[in-house]
Amino acid sequence: MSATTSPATASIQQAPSRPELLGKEDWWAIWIGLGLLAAAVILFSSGSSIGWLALAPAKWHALPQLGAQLAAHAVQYLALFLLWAVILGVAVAALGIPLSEFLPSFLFIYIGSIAIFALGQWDKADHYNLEPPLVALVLGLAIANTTRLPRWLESGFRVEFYIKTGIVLLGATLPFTLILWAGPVAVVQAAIVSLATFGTIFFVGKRLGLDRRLAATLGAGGAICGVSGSIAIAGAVGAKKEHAPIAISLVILWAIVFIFALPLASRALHLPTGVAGAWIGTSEFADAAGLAAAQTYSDYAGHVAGIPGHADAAINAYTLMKVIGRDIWIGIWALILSIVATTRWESTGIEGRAGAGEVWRRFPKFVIGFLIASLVVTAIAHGYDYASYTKSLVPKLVGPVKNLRTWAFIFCFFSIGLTTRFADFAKAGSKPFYAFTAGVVVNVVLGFVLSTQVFASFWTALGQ
Amino acid sequence: MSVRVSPVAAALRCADCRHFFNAPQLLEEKIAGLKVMGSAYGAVRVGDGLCRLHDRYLSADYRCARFAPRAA
Repeated sequence: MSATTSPATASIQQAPSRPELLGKEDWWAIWIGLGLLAAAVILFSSGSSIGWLALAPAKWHALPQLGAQLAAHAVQYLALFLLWAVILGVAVAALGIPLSEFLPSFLFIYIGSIAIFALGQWDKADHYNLEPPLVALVLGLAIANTTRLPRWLESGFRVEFYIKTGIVLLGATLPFTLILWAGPVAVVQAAIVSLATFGTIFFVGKRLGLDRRLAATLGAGGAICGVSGSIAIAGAVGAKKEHAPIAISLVILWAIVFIFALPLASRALHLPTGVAGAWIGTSEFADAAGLAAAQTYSDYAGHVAGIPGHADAAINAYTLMKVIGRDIWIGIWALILSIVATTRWESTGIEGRAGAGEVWRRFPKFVIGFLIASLVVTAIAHGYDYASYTKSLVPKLVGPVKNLRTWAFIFCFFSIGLTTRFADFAKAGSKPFYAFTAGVVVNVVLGFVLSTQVFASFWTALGQ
Repeated sequence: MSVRVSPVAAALRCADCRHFFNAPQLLEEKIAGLKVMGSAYGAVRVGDGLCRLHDRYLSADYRCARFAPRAA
């Protein structure tokens, strides 16, 4: 590889110097999520509702019925597209993604998402296992791996941006009191599993002769937050160029297996929704993949006989475990591993180590938006008794925000499939595979035992 | 292997070196799978990027003896 760079190319190879509040998608997810929530609250306070715009397909039985329904609401679907296109468009333009590529790509995502959302509302969808997350993933995978989409079309496949926006909106449907009640247990459970998983991958990797920096990058992918964990730790320890792609390939491989496997196993065992959500949150690797699995199990609840607990509990428990229990600690992992790498591991010719500021710099900022959204709606709901909450607040405020959240999640799930082209992934090699898979086994078994035995009554209560 | 870093070079970060690149779009092209369930635009990446000289992915705040200023 050449070590020289022309001035002309250098200018487009550096990250643009924008304030972080405008230059990172985490902050844009907050602006968009809280902006939508603010609009919903203002309309609700004035006696109206954002519900007209935040619509969702209704249940249907036959295709002509669906056609009539879509035609009757065509203006609303168009308005919803314009809303998403404008707010997401402003964000991606600020991030430096060409708008001329993003908008047609997002139109493709939106039309696909209408079809996926509508299919999930078919009254026989449960019978054929057509849960929207799985359909979105399979459809996306089929398109990505059988056709060669033009490169510009990929500009709108922003998995992380959609999932972060969806999680901020999800905060509005999760009582803050629940976060305070369940957060500490989620942190304890996640800490046990994260430490065990990281330790297993790192030490098995070392025994197999892997570079410590690769072992740490693999361990972070399995233990903390999947692809984000791997890329953050790769940077913190100064990993070789090929280490992150190897870890990412393994994370994606197992994450996709578990999108299908964890909900199906939970269903076979008739796990309560809260317990299954906790298990998925402990044992899935990436936020987006885990939410697809948790949403799938949430869709089973109420439709599949023998699954106790309310549907939202799977997503609530998952989010508490993954976001509060695992994601927010990435900065501490990066700080510790950076210090260890520069003081204990072999020198690479590069110097410097992270300071305490690393903990905040690598903090997944979208979590702040999630917590604020939860606080806002919890404060508003405080003045309502249960009857008026379900009669007024749910249909006019919480329900429409939940619909917007569902749209963001479907954009994300469809984008996962569309970006997963197996032929493009780095070849991981057998040793990284064995090391990572050893961690996967520990992660899944320990996550299962803690969710279904040690903390079972706690997670079951979450769903009641 | 230990590398001696000159006092001048020590003050200069990878972020300012011509061997280092961290544009998000470029990273998503170079790092296979990054945009599938992750992103180069996320907060956790901070300003990390790839060094052509050392063939490493590292923090923009790191430094080495072979720092070369980017052309103006």
